[in-house]
Amino acid sequence: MSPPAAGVARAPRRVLPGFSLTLGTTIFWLSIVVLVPLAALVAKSSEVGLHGLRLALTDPRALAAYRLSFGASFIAALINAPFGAVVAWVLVRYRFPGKALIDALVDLPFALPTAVAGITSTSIYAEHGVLGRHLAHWGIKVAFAPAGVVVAMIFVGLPFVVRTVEPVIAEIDFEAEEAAASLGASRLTVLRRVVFPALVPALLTGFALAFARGLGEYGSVIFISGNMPMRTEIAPLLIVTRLEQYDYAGATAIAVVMLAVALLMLVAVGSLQTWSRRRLGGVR
Amino acid sequence: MNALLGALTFAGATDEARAKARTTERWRDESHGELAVEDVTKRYPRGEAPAVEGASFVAARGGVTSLLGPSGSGKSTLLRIIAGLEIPDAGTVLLGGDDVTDLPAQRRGVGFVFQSYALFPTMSVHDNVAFGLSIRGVPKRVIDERVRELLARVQLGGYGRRFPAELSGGERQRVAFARALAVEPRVLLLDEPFGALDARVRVELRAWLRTLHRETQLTTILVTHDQEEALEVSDRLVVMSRGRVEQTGTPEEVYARPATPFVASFVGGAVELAGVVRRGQAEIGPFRLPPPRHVAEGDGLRAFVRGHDVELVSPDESSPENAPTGRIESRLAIGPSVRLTVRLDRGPAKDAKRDVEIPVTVSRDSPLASALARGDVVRLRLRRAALFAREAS
Repeated sequence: MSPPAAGVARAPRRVLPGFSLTLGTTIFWLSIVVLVPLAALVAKSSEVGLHGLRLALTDPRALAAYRLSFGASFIAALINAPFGAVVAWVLVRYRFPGKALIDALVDLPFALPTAVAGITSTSIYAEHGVLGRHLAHWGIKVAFAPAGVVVAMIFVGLPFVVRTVEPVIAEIDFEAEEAAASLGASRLTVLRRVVFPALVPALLTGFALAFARGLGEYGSVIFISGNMPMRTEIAPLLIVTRLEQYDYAGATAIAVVMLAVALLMLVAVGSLQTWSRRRLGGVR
Repeated sequence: MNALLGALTFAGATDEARAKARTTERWRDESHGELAVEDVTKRYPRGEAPAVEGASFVAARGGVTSLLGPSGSGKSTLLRIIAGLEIPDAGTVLLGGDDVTDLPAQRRGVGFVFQSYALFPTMSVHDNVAFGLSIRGVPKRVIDERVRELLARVQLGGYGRRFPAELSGGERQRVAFARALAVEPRVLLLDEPFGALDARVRVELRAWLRTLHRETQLTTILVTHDQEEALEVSDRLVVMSRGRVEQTGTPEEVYARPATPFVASFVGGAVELAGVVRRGQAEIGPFRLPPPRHVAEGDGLRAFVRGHDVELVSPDESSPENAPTGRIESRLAIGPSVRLTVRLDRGPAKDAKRDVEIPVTVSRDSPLASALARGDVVRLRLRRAALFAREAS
């Protein structure tokens, strides 16, 4: 290689190399794992044409499925965010017997085949199940109802919130809480004004991950929901149904709609998160 | 314990010392003690030795009292107990005469400044300072006015909209001061406030703290392991070691008359030498000093010698007495002074089994210092030393 000519800026060199290699790997990997299948999906849906897409957007059964999928995922993530934060708080802040067990339990939804979780929940929440029996008393129906979909999605989404929030809680300056207390703040005020704002970005990330996980969940939901068209049928199941009817175009159209909406929502949460992080003045 | 109360041989200064003791007594009577700690003990679950054991002291209203000690001496724990951030196992904390031992931190009305600043990272500088007032429901207009005043006082006017992460360490700590002052605390508690800052900022902030204190006249407790800081900033020292209070007094008292061997070795950087009482005199190596009180012939002594306690004897002096010779082992020029280490020549005494090395600090400007180099032979005289009877083992 000839030395760079005078006046020509030398390409910046880093003391710790690896940027090109890692970025290259990232792009290559994302391409074969995520991008190529998605592109194939979009290409396939183009066969459907505008008409098919309009059908997928207006078909009442599909609309009901979208509503259930997005609605239940949203509610499940909304419930997971606060409870996951409390679990993370307990795991970070306190030492107690059985802590290792609880820590392992949190990860269980990652590992357990979701069908197993679905069948178990169904038997528990069914009319004669351990919990379902008592809920039936109050006229609450979980299994074979939209509520069951939410329950299944809470199960699979919980670890995402816990594991995202945990490291952030560990980094919270304990002395800042003490400073707030010595300034006269009650415990509740400290949590509300000092701790919670620091958790917001991580909570948003956890929420987005749990939401996305709920949206993609299939295995456990199909057992507990009962899969009644218009009532308890989630969009992924409708896709499978369409495939079984050899309606490939219809299945792809629904998939593309879900893909677009999910992508939009994840991008929205992502920018919300960037904004809230910037508000912290670039901390950490 | 009495045997431990060593007397310092203090040439020609006894009248001065007595006068100082009198003023101290009067000062004690007049200060009603804004803050008092009585016989406080704190033991951590896993620690074998208590963090604080039977600690007592009184802090005068409007004064700066420093808790001085090495790390692990319990000074920070004691400060946290005063603030209500730790609960003592035994003892009492009095604030303005009221027993606050069982009062939660929220209601003690103390301002606490941490070594790590402990600012709220999600809040702007303005909101950090306003925190204590805003949770009390003070109207926004009043808060804004007060925050502006406080930021001006800590020389951060116009910084209100910035965030802690955008400030330097010194600036962050000044925000922490403003935040603590905002609630008009009865007592200001500072836990190694300058410990995380670099040397130059530390010295600047020390001077700034003195000015701030002059203006506010707030009773202040400063925890520090830096004796220079303690001697410079405070009216009164509480020297701690291993959870116990070793000595309380004005910086001058503590420096000039250390009450225990620990204080003698910790304050002023003294070197310990062994001595013995013989023929009515304290023999420290080849040196002779008047003995401390309450010792008998043959008692062992612990002598603490600071570099400034030793002087070089001019070679012109005829028939020098009590001034042994030694060889310069090392010579360090540190700013305005020169620090020598001198190895004393072994005397004829039989018990001089070990070589005695002694520090000598002389002014860089003194004619002797500039001429001296390693290996030169010099004649030394010991002016004074802190002497304690060796405890029978």
